[in-house]
Amino acid sequence: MTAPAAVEYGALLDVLRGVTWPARLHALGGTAGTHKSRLRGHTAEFTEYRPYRQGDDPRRIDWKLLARTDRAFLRITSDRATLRTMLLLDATASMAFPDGAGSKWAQACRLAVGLAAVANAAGDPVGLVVAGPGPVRTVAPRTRRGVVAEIARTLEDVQPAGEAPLAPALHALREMPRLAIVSDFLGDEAELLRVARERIAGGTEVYAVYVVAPEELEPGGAFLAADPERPGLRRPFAPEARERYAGAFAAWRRETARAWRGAGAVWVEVSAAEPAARAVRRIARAVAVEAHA
Amino acid sequence: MTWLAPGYLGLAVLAAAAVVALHFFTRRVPKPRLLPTARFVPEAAVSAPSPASRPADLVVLALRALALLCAGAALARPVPAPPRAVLRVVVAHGPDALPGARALLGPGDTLVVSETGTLSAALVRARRAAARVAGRADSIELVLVAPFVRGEWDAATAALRATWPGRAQLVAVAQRPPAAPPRLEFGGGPADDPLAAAARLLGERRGAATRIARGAARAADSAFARGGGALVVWPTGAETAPRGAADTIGAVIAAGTVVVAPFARTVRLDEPPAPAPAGNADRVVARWADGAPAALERSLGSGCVRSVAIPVPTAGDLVLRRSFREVLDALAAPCGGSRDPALLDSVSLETLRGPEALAAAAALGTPAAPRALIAWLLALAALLLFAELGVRAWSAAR
Repeated sequence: MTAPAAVEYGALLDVLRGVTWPARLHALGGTAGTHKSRLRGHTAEFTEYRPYRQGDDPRRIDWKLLARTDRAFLRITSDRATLRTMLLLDATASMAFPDGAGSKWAQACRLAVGLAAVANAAGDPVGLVVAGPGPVRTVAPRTRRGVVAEIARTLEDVQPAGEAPLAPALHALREMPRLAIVSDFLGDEAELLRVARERIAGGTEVYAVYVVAPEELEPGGAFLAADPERPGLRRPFAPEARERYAGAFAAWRRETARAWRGAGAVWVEVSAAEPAARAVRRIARAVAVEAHA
Repeated sequence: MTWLAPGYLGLAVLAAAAVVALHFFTRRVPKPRLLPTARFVPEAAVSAPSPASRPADLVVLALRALALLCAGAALARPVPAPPRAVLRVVVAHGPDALPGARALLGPGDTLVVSETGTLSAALVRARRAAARVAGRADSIELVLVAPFVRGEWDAATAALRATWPGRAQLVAVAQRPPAAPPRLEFGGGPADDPLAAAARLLGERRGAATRIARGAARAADSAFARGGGALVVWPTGAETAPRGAADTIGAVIAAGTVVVAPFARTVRLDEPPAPAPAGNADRVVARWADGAPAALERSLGSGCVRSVAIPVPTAGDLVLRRSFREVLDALAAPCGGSRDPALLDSVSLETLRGPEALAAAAALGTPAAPRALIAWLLALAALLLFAELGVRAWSAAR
């Protein structure tokens, strides 16, 4: 199972042109960007007046208003900042399901490239961490235009296999304003959620993008189900067990989503068969949707 | 093919049938397929037996059933079918029966020559011969070629005949005309030997001579015996070795005649070995009242030597009594003893004929199962089981 070739992302990137991925919270500041900053600056975008208090910078006093009203007010303006974004991809064996272009891994790659392109278009530094067997592959967050292609090439070389925890990789991503975890959450989901809670408490926006295959939702036929990450787990899947399986799986998805949302993360469920562009749009506007919900 | 222990074969057939029945209950493991969400599949047995319309794993089934049948056949001790349905054991009893018996012999029949002893001895020899050839036929017929005179019948004949579980064909041969009573020759001994007086009372005899050696036998006496004569060694008493602790016995019995008198036993005769070695026709001619041998006949060459331990009283008229004369007559009989020349009655003949049915060979002797065949069957069973293991491993690898 391999990621789509870098040249195959052209259509996806074309469709995603103009899509924005706004920050859920005001950015902490830093380089000027498109996201609202928590800091007040000197931009022309007026926000409000505030009475002058001892200690304020006298250069920010609106002198014209002082002349008219004989009272000193400060002119408050909003600041804009960039938002460093890191994409954490799960490259374990369970992501290589099912075989072919419709696998969860292929969809995860498309989502990663699409989100990276959207973030990069807004001037945000975007990077990548791939957690799988072997050493963790990392693309440092950058704003240059070639970073999306670099991410695509990195994913092209990854073969999802084996079993690897995501929590250590997430733990290593400190002081990252925005994190998007693309996974099926069938590994160390409990530990991953615990680390994610720490990051969220530290002010990080966490997006949990759950990728699920249609074949997982409705397996067909009768077979001996074997967990690719747990060789000892083999259970017979019979038609009469379908209802119980679907119920247990749905309950797990529901409970996992509730836990992540309760932790303050954005939970988005994406089918491996869903067009990637639509999924990226859903992720990007998940803030508004969740806020509305 | 017959089976010595057919129960094992039945058990093997039942076990093979059970194996076939079990193969109708297939236990199929579904084909494995990767499913990352396998943890949500309800736990259940990976495979469960289910009845099928046709047996599964035909090769394994065939190997298992064949292995069981081979092992069962080996334990059942197979015996190949005898080449003949009926085999005859032809017994030539008596010196004149052999030509007639040879004429009755067919291919594969067994000839038993019984020149000495009574019909009881002939029946015992026939029984032994039948046990040896029991594996060569389904049934065995006994053919008795004998003169069938009363002298051949003794107290054990009927009981021994009953041990042959089948009919017997009786072929009577012409009885040799009874020989004249033997003349008695005396060698050694005193001139007034009371035994000579008793012999004279027996009357004139014209048959073959029987030599009575009083005292020790000489070389000429032995030559006489080797030439076919009957030599009776009857010590006078002075030259005999002491019997150990001498005692007195009250009677002596010979040929059904009892002589009651206080005999001082000074010579001991050993009981002839039973059964007698081949070619040795030792027999007790007379016994004391307590069963110990009083006169013993041993074959020597064509004739025989009788050792007599009965003291001859020199006083009294014991030797002149009729009972003593009859004992002397029995002791001086030709070798082998004198036989009653009268033909057997119909009841005795019917007893000899026995039932109408032939005797089953299995009842006369257990045929030996060929060990090589059993070993080969067991080896084949083991080989089949190894093959079954191989086939299963090969199937699992596939």
